[in-house]
Amino acid sequence: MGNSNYLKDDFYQHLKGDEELFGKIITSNGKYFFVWDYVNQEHLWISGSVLKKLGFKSEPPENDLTTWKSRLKFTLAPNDTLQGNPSKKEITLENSQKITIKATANLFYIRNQEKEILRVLGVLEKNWFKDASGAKISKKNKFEKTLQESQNRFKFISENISDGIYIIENDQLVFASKAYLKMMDLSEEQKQQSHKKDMFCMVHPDDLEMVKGAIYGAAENKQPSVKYIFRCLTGKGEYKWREDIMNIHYDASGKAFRAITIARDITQEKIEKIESIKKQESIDLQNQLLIKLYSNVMDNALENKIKEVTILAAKGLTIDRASFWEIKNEELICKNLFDKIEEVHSSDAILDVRTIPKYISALNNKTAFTTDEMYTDQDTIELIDNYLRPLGVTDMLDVPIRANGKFYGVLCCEHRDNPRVWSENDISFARALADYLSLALEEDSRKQAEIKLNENQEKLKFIAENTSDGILVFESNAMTYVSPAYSKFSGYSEEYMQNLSLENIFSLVHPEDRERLRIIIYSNLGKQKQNFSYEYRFKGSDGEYQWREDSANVIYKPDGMYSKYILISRDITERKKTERQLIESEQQLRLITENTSDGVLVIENGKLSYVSPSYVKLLNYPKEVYLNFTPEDVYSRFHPDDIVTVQPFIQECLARHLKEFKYEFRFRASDGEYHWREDSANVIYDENGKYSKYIVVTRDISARKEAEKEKNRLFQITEKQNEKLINFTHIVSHDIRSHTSNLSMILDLFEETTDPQEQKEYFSMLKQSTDKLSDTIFFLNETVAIQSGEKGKKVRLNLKKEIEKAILGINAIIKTNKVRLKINIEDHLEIEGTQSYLESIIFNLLTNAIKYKSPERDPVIKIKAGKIAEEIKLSVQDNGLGIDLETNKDKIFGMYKTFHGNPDAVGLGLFMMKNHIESMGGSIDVESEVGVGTTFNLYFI
Amino acid sequence: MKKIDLTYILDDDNIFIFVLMKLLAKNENFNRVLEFKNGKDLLETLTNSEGNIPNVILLDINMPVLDGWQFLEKLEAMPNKDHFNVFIMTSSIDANDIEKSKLFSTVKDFISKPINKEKLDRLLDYF
Repeated sequence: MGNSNYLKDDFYQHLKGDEELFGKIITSNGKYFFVWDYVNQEHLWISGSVLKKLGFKSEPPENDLTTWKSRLKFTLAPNDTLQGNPSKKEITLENSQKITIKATANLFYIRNQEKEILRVLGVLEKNWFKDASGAKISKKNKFEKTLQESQNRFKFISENISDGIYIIENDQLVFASKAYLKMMDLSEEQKQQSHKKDMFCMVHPDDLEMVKGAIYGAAENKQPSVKYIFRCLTGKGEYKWREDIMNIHYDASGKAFRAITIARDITQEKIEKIESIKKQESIDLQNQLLIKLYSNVMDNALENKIKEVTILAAKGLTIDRASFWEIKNEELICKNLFDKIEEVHSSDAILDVRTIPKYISALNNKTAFTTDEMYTDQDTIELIDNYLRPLGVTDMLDVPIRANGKFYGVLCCEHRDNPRVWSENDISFARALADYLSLALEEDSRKQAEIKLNENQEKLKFIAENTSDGILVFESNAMTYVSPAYSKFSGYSEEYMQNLSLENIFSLVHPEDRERLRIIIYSNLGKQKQNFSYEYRFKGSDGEYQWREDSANVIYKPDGMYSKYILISRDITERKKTERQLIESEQQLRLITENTSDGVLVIENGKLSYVSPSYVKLLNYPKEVYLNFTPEDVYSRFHPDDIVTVQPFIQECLARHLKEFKYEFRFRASDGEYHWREDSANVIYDENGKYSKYIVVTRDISARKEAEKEKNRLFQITEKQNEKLINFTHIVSHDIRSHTSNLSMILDLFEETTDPQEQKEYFSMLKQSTDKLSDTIFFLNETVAIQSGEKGKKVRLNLKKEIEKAILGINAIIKTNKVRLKINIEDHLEIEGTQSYLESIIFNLLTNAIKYKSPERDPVIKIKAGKIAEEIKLSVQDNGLGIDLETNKDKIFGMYKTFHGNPDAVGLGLFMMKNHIESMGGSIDVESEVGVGTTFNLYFI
Repeated sequence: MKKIDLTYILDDDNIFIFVLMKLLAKNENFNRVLEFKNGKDLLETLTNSEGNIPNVILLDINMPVLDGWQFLEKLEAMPNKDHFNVFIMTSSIDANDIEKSKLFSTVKDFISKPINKEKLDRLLDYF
């Protein structure tokens, strides 16, 4: 052994492999310990710190372990070894002054593989040295304080770090930090219970084997620590992802007796990791699918490609349904729908585009359409009832498909049952599928076009060989091809034709057409026109001329000369015959139009091209004048009242491309008189919708219009009379009622009183009232008499004489009121009427003018009369008070209307006047201004 | 039943006014009664009344200068129109007139002539 202290060396060696023990020493009392050789019990080593505390200046020789032993009185009962680790033991120490000191030691046992005790480690309890040297008490306090602080710090750290710490000893939970309890959502109570529980029951069943394997495996191999990740059931019944680092302590026999575990909640990280793995997986899958799709041969039929895309969409996006819809004729037609669950394709759904305009426009405006709120989103609201809800769709990812530059259809990816959030990758994937579809569609339409082209070429060949249209091809002034049809109809063999020069061919053209044809062909060639056609007569081998229509297709060289001149020649003999017939029938038509009484007018390209003789006769404009008319000239001769309705009507009909329509209007003839006409228009439109021919058959309907006018006039009269009658009945009922009600009220009062004076009063009222009633009845009687024309015997009356007679009758009033009369009437002006009525009218007019004179000036009455057209107008103008026509216009000629509050106004004058003039067939109107005067105008027939 | 302190009559029929005055006097619920022959005069009085507002206006329809309807239009244009209680008294029994009267908020009732004790009592029920 030499000079070395084997206990010390062995111990330090052991500590290197026993972290736990090392930790214990460090955390309990650090440097105050001893190691006792349990095999050779006379040997003991005490740490230098203990010796110092005991007051020894130097240590005994390193190898003199017996001396070391003498410094520490220490015995161990044989059963002590069997008890807990550590176990507490009272020991005694001897200091340098040979004084015995008592202390408590925690004993730890270091065992060999056979679990036999080799060494006993004694760690002295804190403050053991209180009385060790009898000195340096203050220093001891300082140590205690430092110790307390460091312990507090440890506690603080263990409680505040997010990692939870728990300790299991002999399969029992002996410690759990607050952070651990919080992490596991365990209450103190639950913690107590979990002491007794098998800790493994908290592990997720799927992770149990792995966790058990890791822990038991580590224990088996005496690994000091093991790390494992698992799902752990929390107090709330949820699983949390945890990463535990377990430090396992083994006893001397190598049995694991303690596990200190640092637990970390990695749920969040784990979820993110799982998500990212999932995402990666889905991207990988999507990419794989896309690669597969694109690497497929494009030769596949379009139908199969669509099928493939819907399958891939369902797989790649892990959805139940994917479909491709095509927009066609206002319909959204499902071309293919793949149901992943049933593994079937179907294609019968059709949606009307007009019922879902918002959805369509939303789709059309986006590269991909997704919505989280499809049951409230304005763009998808139209789809809810007949699509989304019945199918239980919760999320949709719709991608518009554009092919050949237009909105072609949509790829619909629908997720059902539970909400789904589409990732950027999902959208890119769907768009990639849509792009593929676009390509496939374009490819398909290109192929279709190719097929069509091939068909067309074959068809062309077929036509060339089989139709009656002959085909000639010229290249560099020489005929290079003659179709069999050409030689068949012309009667010339193909060889014969091919040997003909151009001049030879022209010589076969009818002499009348030859020069014209030459000009047409060479001028078109000169202009490098690619297509043109012409008609001519061509002499067949039988010497007969046939009408032919040639359509030329010319290909030019860069120098302007033609390289290929392809001629399609058609026999139009039949058509020419028809044309001739048409001309004949047109001539026939003309014959009819020239001879009917209805006028016929044709407008072509905005100009009058034909006017029938009866049209000319109808309105008396010379034919040449008509033919120079523009439509504006025609319109300018419409009656102003009609142009405002007829012109917009014609324009609307033309805009709506109506072929036939009718309208009535008055047209000014050359003599300035208007004639009623009814036009039936027949319009032919060109391909641009512009009218090319406007044929009018016109008829004079003046007589009918006159009759209509007369009918209307009679109707108006009846209407007016009805109105009058209603008015009259109303007045009668009102006026008579007002008097009779007065009478009944007076009689009531009369009956109620016995006072003779009062009765007398009522009696006088009764008399007044009955007088008024009889007046009213008299006037009403008069009115009825006038209106029924009882008194009216019409004679010719000289207006001037009648007026002078009337003035004479009221001469007295004229004089007293200082009236100045100005009369301007032709001597011989006569009217037809009833004398007494005219007298009454003039009397009323004059007395009114005087009665309502202005208090500010002397009355001036101007009377004038003259003939205007068929009527005679009589005006009586005064400078009196005037009438406010604004408020009184409707009732001025009404019965019992008075306007000035004059006590002697009865409101019958104007009413009677109107009745009188109307019974003579005339009319009356009034102009007036308050404070200026009134003019009554009377019109006699 | 409240007594009517101030009543205005607007009617151009002297006989009717005479009879109505008698009836109102006999009723004893109408204190002061003033008569107007045309609407213009009454409107002037109302405009210059300075707070002297009648409790009741008894209005005829067929009248010179301003008829009953024109009078009502002017009355309704007045700022204090809510204070007026108009009762139309007319010999008209035309349904059109009755309907028309409902368009005016100041018109409380449409009473057809002849007027008697019962009709006046019914008028008083509005107060």
